[in-house]
Amino acid sequence: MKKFSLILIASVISLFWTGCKDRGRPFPRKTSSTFNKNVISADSNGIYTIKNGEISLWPDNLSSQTLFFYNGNISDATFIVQEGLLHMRSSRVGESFTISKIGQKFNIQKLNLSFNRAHFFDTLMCFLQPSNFIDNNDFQSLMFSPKNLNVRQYERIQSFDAKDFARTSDSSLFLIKTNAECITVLPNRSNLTRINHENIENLIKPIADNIKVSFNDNYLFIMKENMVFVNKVNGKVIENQSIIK
Amino acid sequence: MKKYILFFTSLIALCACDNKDFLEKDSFSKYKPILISNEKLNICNWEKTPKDNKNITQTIKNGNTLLLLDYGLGIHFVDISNPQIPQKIGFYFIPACIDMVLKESFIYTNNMNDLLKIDINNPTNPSITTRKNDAFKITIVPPDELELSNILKTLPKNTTIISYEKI
Repeated sequence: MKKFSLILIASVISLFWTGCKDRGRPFPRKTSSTFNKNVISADSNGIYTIKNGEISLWPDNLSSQTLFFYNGNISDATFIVQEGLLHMRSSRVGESFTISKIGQKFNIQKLNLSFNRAHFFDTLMCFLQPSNFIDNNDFQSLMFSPKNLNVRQYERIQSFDAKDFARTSDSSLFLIKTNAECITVLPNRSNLTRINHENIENLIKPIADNIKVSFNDNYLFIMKENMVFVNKVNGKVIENQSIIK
Repeated sequence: MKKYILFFTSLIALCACDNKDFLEKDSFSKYKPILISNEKLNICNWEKTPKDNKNITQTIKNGNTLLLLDYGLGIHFVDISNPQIPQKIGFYFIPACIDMVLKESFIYTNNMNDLLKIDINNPTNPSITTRKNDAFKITIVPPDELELSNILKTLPKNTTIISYEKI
């Protein structure tokens, strides 16, 4: 009986040890770079490119290259420039997100924001207005005063699991949720409206994962791997048009 | 008593099995690289024969022309003057292009590490007007952002990854 007890104890310890080992199973090995990466941007000042944390400004004819912004601590970053405001983030987990306003002498003000969620890695960026930033993880909205770049308002609208944004010309926003909802958000974020819910649900429900959206000239384009869905937007109604393969 | 000993010994032996290989297998990318020889890396071709889409990551509408960025492969030109029947015009093969912007009928994109300016005033015959070497340091990553398995990491000599396709 004593031997039996010893074996029983050994078994329990063994099972416990195996359980501990499994807790340390390898997570999927993320690369240090992001797939959806912005390396080129443009505004009325010219064309912006990024290389090793350095953002260069080129005139439209690409005749010269000027250092626009440098942050050596941020490697492999993705960025958007819009009329003098640089919105930049690193593609690496835990590295800082930077918003800068560029003055005549590269007067860069930096604002490092720490988000509660660790997986800022997957965050997408979109502008409602030049001074606004949207983080899609929880659909948090951050507003910045363009003058001093202090956080003016921090507001969490609602918990979404959005896959991508598309900005409309009137600065409302299309938001595609993974369970195939398409939602507009007004610039003052006072209202969330589902647009033509049944149509969009029928359209993207089978393809809801890994979709990207863009909005251009009253057309909503939904991208899913090799397919592009072309949709004319008429007011709040999406008219399904065609698929390009 | 012997039965108990046999049972628990077997249990311990089973628990000792290393499942590392199974777990490792799931942790790598489900994509394999598309390669090009280094000599051809900077050769971009306009092809009037339309190509099938592979992995569209960006769209830009310029008038009645829709430009579709095919990740790492190039840009499809599509006539959407009749949006119900879009017609592909052609395909600009641009190795390792991952981003593009439109400004005043010119497309700015990357050909691996070079910055290109493409005149699209005539969408049936677009042309590169300017190339700036080494404007970027681009890493082409799989769409699932996972690392390649060690076998796929070993590239043939003088080749570069320009895109990925599903295994």
